[in-house]
Amino acid sequence: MASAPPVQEEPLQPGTNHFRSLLAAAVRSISWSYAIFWSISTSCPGVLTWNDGFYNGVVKTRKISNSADLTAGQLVVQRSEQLRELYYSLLSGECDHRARRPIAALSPEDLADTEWYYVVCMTYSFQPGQGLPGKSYASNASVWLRNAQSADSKTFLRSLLAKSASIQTIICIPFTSGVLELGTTDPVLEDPKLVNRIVAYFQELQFPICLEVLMSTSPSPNETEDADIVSEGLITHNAIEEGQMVVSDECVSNANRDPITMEIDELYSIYEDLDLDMDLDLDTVRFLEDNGWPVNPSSFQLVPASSTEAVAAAAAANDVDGVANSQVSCFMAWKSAKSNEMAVPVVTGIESQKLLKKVVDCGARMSTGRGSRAALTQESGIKNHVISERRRREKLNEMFLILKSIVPSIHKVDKASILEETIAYLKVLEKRVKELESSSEPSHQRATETGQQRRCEITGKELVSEIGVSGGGDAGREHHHVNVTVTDKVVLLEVQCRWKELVMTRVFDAIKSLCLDVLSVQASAPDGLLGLKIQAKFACSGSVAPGMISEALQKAIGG
Amino acid sequence: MEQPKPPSVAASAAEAQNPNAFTCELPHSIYALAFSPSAPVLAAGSFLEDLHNRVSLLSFDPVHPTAASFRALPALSFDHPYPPTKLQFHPRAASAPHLLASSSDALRLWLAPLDDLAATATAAAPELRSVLDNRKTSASEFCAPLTSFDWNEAEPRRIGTASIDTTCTIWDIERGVVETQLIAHDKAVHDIAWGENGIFASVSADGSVRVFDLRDKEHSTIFYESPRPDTPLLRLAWNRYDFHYMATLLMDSSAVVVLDMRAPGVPVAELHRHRACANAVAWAPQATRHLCSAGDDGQALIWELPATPGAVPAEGIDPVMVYDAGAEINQLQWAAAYPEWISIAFENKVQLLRV
Repeated sequence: MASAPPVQEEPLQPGTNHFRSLLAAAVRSISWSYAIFWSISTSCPGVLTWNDGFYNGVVKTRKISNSADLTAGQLVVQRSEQLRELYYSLLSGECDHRARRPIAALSPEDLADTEWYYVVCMTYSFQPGQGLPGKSYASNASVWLRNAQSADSKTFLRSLLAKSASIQTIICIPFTSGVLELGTTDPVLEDPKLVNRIVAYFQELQFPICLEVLMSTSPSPNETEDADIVSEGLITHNAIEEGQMVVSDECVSNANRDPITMEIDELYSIYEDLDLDMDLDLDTVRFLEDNGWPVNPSSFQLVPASSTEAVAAAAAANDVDGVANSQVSCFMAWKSAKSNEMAVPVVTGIESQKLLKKVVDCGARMSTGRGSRAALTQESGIKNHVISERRRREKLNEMFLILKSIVPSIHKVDKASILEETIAYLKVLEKRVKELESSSEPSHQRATETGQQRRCEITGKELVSEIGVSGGGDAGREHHHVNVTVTDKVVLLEVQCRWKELVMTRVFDAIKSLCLDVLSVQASAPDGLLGLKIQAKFACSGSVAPGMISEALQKAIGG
Repeated sequence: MEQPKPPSVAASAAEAQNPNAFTCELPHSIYALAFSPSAPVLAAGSFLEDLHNRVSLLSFDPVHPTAASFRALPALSFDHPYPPTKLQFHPRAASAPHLLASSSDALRLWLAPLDDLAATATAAAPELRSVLDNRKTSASEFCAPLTSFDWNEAEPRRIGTASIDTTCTIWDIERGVVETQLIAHDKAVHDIAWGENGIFASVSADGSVRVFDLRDKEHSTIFYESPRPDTPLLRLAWNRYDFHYMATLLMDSSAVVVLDMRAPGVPVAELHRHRACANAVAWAPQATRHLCSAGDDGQALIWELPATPGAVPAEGIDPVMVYDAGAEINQLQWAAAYPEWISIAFENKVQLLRV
């Protein structure tokens, strides 16, 4: 199992450099499964790739020839190295087992799911902003991902891989040179203190590197080596066989070589980064140069029209061939500095455009010498002509306005429309006059025919009046006659009575009280009698009996 | 009156100053200029506020120019009643006689014998061919003076004239009659310019640029109005190479206003580098976005418009080239037959400038 006895948890790491030991210390201090450090790739600038890692998870099959002599920490370190070597062998296509003296090579069958996840991660690379490491690097902030196995593959590119390995929680912490990723199979709630503790480990990273750089140029490595020997001595005392001591010395020797190699690699990486920055600067300079290039001003040039006819005409016109002058134009290029002179106010007044004004005023009218009389006469005639023309036009415009206001149907403004609508209106008027004349003549004739009787026509209907049959000389007798005829809703009333004051008023009041609406009335007064013929209709839905109507009217004319 | 003295050529000072500028002095103030479309000849009209004025024909050598080769041809000069407000040669080169049109109190057509410039001693003076005026009765009424005119290049039988009586008149010069007379402006019309397909534009003292179409004479479109109310527009130039563009000049203004037919009302650009009022503007004959302007500051400026109208910088466009004449430049013409030559008129001098 990954957990070690408490006694063995001391961070004595004689077999690795400081950086890797810090990785191991960080991940083991929190008992997580793995740590990976992604840094900017040297082959692909701007891309995060695997730099180093430490595996602290489940181990399926151990292949160690002398496992009894190694501490738990050493076993874990060795496992990480074996996983890295497996990755390289897979990358190069060597699938056969390669036996090495202190370490046996692993094969894919020897890996647990978590170990396989750790190995496959070595194949990944991330653009800034892509995946968890890329996102953390771009935003320069820690990213804490829980439930990694069920995360969206867009957010977490390796979600399927994490699911098969039961990886649940992942942290990505940005550093100057890259991103540190820690993962575990346990669900861990987001904890800023944990992030700070991990960062504290790596804040010590820079200081030890400086010390190591200094130590590389001084005899102090011997002291360090002495310290390691002392540690190994302690271990040796625990050992029973004498031969094991030789193996320990070999490990120490390998450990001493690795830090130097790592330092050299880091230096190369720094130099390459500087070159990369220089390249970027050059690109920037090139970009600025492109922007700064001035646009060549377009030159103005006319192509002269050369034709044989022109040449022939020129030859005919010129007896002697003169020396050809240069083709340079006598115009000069405009200088933009002259735009300042635009502030000079433009001179206007009686002297400006002098000749042009005289031309458009037609200097022909001027007279300063012989012919002054003709000029004066012509000038007078011209002015009269202009004035009369203007008066005529003003008069026409005025009359058009008057016509527009008189004719009510004119809505448009232009003169043609005014005339057109006036003509239409006059035609309408003529038509109405004809209609009126044709309708008034028959009425006049009838009136002439029946002139003996006085009539009042209210609705224009022809008057049909019945003269009551009366005996001769009986003018003194009263003749009251009421006739009521009801057809559907129309009532025809015929009333005949002696003319008296207010008799008409009483008749109409009676009709109104019967809920009748009067439609038409014809009245006549033959021989002093009042004759009424009234058409009415029922105002309400209920109808009144003809007898009641007759009785009401009898009362009206009788009273 | 006396015959004008032969014009003296005082080009030594100018030549010392600029070897590619050639100066010809005439005995009177110059306003109207016109390049011939087929011959290396330049017509210059005097500006004397008098009945008696003169049009001179100047010859130049476009291939090997020298101070001596740019000179007036005395035999081809002729008297002209009233100062000509505009001169223009017949736009078609080969198939027509060399006609020169002038505008003053009426539109006049002159026959200029430019075929054999070498035999100047025996050539006859330009002959007045026809006078086009629209007097109702020739005895009593006077025709309103013409401020400018333009010769239609696509249909050379048409000339459009601008008059101070607010009319634009389209003449049929072959029959010598008025084809159309249009009244749209409220004040004097100062300049007229043909576009394409029977379309022409005019500028007026009422401050507007109007565009007419002979196929639809009932309507005219106000294309631009000066920002200050009632500021007259004086000159108009239509780009013959790209009919989308026009340029106009305002009274008492140093700006050259460039308009785009596809965006009426709002100028494409306002060119503000003259230090005094602008007097003349002309488009390059064989370039879409180049024009030249001249003004009271004595400078002739060549401008290049941006490729897209939205690309005009906020601080304004700088001209590409500049020439300083030293006196107020009144007239400017860019030769269509020889696009590398520009002619300007100031005081009593006519200058030929190589672009």
